[in-house]
Amino acid sequence: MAIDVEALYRKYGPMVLRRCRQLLQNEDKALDAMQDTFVQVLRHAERLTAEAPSSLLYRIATNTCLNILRGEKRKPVSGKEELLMEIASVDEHEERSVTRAFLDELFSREKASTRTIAVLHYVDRLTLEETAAEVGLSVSGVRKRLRALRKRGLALEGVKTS
Amino acid sequence: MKDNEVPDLYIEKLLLDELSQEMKERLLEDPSVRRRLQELKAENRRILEEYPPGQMAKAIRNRDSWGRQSQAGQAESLLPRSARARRPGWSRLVPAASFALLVLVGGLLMVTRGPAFFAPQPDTRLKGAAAHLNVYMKTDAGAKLLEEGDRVSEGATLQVGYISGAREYGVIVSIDGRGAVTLHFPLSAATGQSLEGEGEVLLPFAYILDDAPDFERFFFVVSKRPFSVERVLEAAEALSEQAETDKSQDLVLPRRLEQSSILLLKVR
Repeated sequence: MAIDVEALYRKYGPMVLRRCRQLLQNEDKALDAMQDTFVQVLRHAERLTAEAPSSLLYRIATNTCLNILRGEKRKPVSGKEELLMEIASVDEHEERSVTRAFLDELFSREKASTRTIAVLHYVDRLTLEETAAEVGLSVSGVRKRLRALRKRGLALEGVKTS
Repeated sequence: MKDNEVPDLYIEKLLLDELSQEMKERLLEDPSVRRRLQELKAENRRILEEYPPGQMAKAIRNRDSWGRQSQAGQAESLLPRSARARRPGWSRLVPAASFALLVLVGGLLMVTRGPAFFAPQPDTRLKGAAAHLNVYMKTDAGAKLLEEGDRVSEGATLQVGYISGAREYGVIVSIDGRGAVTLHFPLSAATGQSLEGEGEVLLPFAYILDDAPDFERFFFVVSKRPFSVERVLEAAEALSEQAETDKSQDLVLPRRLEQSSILLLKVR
């Protein structure tokens, strides 16, 4: 599928940049992450479907930002940021790079990224049902993922997000 | 939606018209949603003005192209960025670049590795000076400090130096009359961009001008905080394709980044 990058950016660029700004709190990094998000779309254009591009781009942007946050050592200044950093630090695919795993997941070879699910539910405050709808899983599937994440030491429920 | 607050993603989808009619109608009953929708529309306009679609699309395509080259094992180098993008075979030149001399076929410069051809003059070590570039041309008597609009010719040896002006981070790029963009500092987009402190700092390379026509323009972009080298290169790349304005326009960069430039005119 050939992609008209300019048209895609014109329609979705502001949403993606806003998402990156929200998670990274840094204009330059957000702009980089936004461009990287579109690059990933370009590179996997043949596997994209026209359904719900906003959800797809939102998830790619979220994961891109999580990877950036993962490499940072900055001290969180708010509960929400602390939560994000904690989620970003989760190593959910020890045997492969997080990016590789995410791309596999994204393009339907595997199940949705648990980190992305965690951000949607705990940071973005989507309900379990809404999160499930966004990532194409059942509610029980989302619940299981979050439970597994908590078992790996992430005390998500204990983190204040206000 | 927890806390009775409609998540941002839903407002985004509402704006993009990617929600079911039922959901759309339900959300629009909420005055706070309508207000947030208007705010997003206004912000979208600001974003598209600040980061125009044409430039962003180009930057994204370039990033994709460079990433693919990088994945194919092509290392970062001093080669002009345009050369990297336009000539897939450039990497064959890289082994030769490990010698003292690197010739950039079709690029803008020959780069001689080694120490600068002169030491900075004491009076250029100005405390508190604004961040700026100094470009020197080698002469029989030593070196001449060039000024905006000075004329230089093919074969001239140039030395670039900078005064950080208490700015901690910087990038130096140049554009030539062929539209080639070269990153001079840092040595690649992947390395650090910390500037050295007081006084004039000379880059560790001298440059011999090739036969690119019309002009050579050096940009110095600085900030007190780290910023993206890629952004500066992309802005230079975008400017290099505007033949009418590349001699006078600034790079399109976030306002918090300060920039200065020096234009040298080429004579045959």
